[in-house]
Amino acid sequence: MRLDIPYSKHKRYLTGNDWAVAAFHHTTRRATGVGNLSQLVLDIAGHLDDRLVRGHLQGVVEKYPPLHGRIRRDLTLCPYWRMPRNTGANPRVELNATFLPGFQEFGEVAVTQALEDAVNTPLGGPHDHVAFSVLNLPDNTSRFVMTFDHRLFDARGAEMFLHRIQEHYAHPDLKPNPVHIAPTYPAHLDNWKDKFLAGQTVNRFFLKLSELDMAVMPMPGVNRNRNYRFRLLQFDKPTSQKILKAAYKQAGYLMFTPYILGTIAQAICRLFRVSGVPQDDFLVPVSSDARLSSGTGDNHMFFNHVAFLFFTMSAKTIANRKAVIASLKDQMYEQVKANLPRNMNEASMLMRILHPAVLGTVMHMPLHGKRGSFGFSHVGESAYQSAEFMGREVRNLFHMPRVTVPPAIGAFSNLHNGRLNLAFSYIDGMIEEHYADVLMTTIKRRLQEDAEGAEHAETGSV
Amino acid sequence: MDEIPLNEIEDLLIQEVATVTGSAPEDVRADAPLHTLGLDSMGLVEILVFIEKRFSLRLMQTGLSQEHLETLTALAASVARELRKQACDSISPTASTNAT
Repeated sequence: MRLDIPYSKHKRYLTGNDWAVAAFHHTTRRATGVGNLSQLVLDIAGHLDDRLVRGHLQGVVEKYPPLHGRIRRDLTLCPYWRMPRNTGANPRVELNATFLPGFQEFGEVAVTQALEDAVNTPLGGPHDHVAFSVLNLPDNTSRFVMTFDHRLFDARGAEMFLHRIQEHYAHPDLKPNPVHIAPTYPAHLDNWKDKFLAGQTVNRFFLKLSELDMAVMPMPGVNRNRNYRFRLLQFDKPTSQKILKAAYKQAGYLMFTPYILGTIAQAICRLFRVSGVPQDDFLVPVSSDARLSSGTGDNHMFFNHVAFLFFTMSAKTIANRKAVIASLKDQMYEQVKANLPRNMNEASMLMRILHPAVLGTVMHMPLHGKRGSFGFSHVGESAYQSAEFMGREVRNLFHMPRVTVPPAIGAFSNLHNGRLNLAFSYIDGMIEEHYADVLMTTIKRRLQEDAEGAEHAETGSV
Repeated sequence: MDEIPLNEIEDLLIQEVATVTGSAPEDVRADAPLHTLGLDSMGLVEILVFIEKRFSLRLMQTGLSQEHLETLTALAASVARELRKQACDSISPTASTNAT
């Protein structure tokens, strides 16, 4: 059976993944008062003139109607993103500009706190999906922050949009590509049999996962004003390149994701242990960019283009990094071979019939109310390709995602211009602050040791 | 089984990389390092899964190092070598004995 819905350039039908993200948004907002937000931070040499930035953003934002959209539903069946016909001449642009004098006294801690404030602040209204901040620091550097609603952008898409903001600055006559103004996507109300079969495969996979005794950090009590805390780790380019070399040595060529996930998992295991969490097995949901590399300039800037994989790590072997990495590679291989990411995309189309609140509950059922021990994502080399932002040199770019509830704790890595960045994110009150510091010190020390050892080493095998 | 010519293996791999990265096959250079073609861990795994499905070779378990798969030319040579090895094993006396 096929249901044909008339095409409209003001509608963008949501995929099953988009709808899962909408459910994460709902559960996270219910638990913390703020939805599934993340942010991108540009570390910039020199100060930014906030009036100039505001004027430029105003001009860019009005060109992209998806930024002003809202979720609606067709035939009470298929959710879509409703885009306004006209954004108006002066759409609202939220830009907070701050000069941070506390930097002299507290250094990076003051910067991190200001960045936390930005990502923990709810967006203005139901049509607001992005907000900006400028932090000018006394050391003549600044941070440009783009806080975004994950229902509209995934991590890579946000990088692409930030790059687009710079492109509009460098080329004032640049016209947005029509597919960026109204990204189309079919309703996918056909091939029901394929979707049910994919659902069966996915269901079997989750039933198997449900047999695990999964280690999870207990959630602190529900508090509508509960914020997320962050720890940030940044490596310079030479060290980052040595770490990449170490990753290829230990995990094999291009196998950075298993390497970094294995390294982080070992440190988080220690964190769980000192926090008194029973030493059960780990389950880690991992999202990765599913765009084709040729799609970066195409119809792929808005919404979610991610694939999900699920890795397990045995409590008995997690201390052995070689075994952990080998197991992660095997699981990645088996899940790709079994078409799990594709089956999940297909099967999740069926879930769009559910309200996000119901879907949030349904998604947790197979794993008894849990979703994983912690979240992880490696974004890879950033899609922000300019060396400058509005006339100032870009020194670095990193992500600060609020990890969805549950598990409300996770780690993220990205590369910008060859520099490795790590962010650790957790809901306030979940772990002791001191332990978060120890976690980052442990990860940093381990990666630096690997970097030093990698200089004269041969590359390992896949 | 007839031996598959090396250039045929290379063409199949170019085609697959083009599919995985969404590039035109003519833009996929066989002598370029795989990371410059837009492949990451997931992309490489997709190529290795393709090799298993197409050639019945599970390269993940053969201990290939970077030099054996850094470019599509090197990877095609590795596939050809493993196929030859597999063919030799299947006609060796030990294999024949085991088969019977």
